[in-house]
Amino acid sequence: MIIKETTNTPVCSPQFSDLTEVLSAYRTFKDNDALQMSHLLAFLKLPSTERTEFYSLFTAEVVVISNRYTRQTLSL
Amino acid sequence: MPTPTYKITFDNEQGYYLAGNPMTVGLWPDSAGSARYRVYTGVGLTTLLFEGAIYSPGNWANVDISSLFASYKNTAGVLQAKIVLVTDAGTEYGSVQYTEGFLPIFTVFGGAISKLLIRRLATLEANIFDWKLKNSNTNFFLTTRTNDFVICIPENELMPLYYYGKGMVFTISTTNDECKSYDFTADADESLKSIDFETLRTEVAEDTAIWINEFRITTTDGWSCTVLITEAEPSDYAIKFRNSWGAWEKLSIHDNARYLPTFSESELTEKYDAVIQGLTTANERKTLQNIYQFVTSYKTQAERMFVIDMLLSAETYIVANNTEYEVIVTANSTQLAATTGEPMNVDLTLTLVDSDTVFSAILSEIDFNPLTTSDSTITTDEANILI
Repeated sequence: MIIKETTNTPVCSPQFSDLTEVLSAYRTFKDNDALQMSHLLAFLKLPSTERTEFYSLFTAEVVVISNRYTRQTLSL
Repeated sequence: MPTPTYKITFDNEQGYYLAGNPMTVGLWPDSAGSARYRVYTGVGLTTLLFEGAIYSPGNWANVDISSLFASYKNTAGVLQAKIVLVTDAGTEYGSVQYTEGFLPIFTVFGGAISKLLIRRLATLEANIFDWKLKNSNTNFFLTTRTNDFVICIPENELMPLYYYGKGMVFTISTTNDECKSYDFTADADESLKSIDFETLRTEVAEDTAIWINEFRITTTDGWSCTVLITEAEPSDYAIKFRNSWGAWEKLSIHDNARYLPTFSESELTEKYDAVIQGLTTANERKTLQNIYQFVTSYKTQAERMFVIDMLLSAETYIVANNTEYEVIVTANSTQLAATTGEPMNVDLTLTLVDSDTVFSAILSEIDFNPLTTSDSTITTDEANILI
């Protein structure tokens, strides 16, 4: 479950530490093995309801940085 | 007052000025009390821009030359200029009049800061160049989103962040690694630079297979600032505008716009009618003003302050269907002033600057091509209210 900004503390858009793992999940999500990294990056770049659905497949690790903002990293 | 060492003084040691703020230059008058001066710009600083004189016997004559550079105040950029003292006969005193090492050259940067900030900096005996624009150790970007160390930009509002390069040295790091270093300490001339964090994010993803939305900018002295890309809600529209530094910024707005076409009163004239052999009333086409009501995306209290800069801007465009339309934007000021801690939307009214006396139905790219799909997949035009 990813978190969204609900207070004045900003939340970083989700990050991924291993895009190869994410690409594999994206191919499964779209049921299309031909999808490439460029397709995934274009998908991650802009908000969409489909992307929100995709994010929900991951688990978020949340870290508050210097009490200034929240970093969230997603992993399977 | 004894004759000073320097006969020309600038507001700050570097001779830096913002085009949209007062540009006060101190000139020391000759024995007759007159300070005649010339301002040069252009290649080699040889193009005469202005010649003037001021009378101030025995004391500094302070002249505000900002009106000479008024055309630069709305656009980010940089310009070098020179001011020299001349005799009554029009002869330049030459470099002998300036103490060795002092050049009467000054630099004009686009944009301006508020009077409130000028007063604050004056109290602190500081200037905006040392505190922000020419300081690698802080948030030196030409953004009015914030002067804070954390610059939050929603992902659908990303635009290149501009800064002035000369003398700057800094590094951009991801969560774990350094990804880009910049060093402009050897630059002879000042210049406007930019970093496109959207492109940088893609480069990092392609090179290292990580997806980063947090970029930390550091110097050898420590942390300068962090550019944080925040998650946004889907939106097809945005307002693009020049901020107070003269750099482009973007604000996304929600799709559920309300269209309020406004019509002028009919202008009735008279025309001769041959049948009745008399005058009758003639109707003229009316003028249509296109007005749209939008709401901004979800804005924190700090982000709502940024909306104020958009409302002040002289150049605002709505970006829709990959086209930019110039608009005049107004907002409900009570929403901007709200002190609640919860993020909220701000209602905006956009008036297109193009008024019309004719109407054209929506024309999309698909209308250029013959239909190749089956009849069953063809849908009717949606009532797209924005062009």
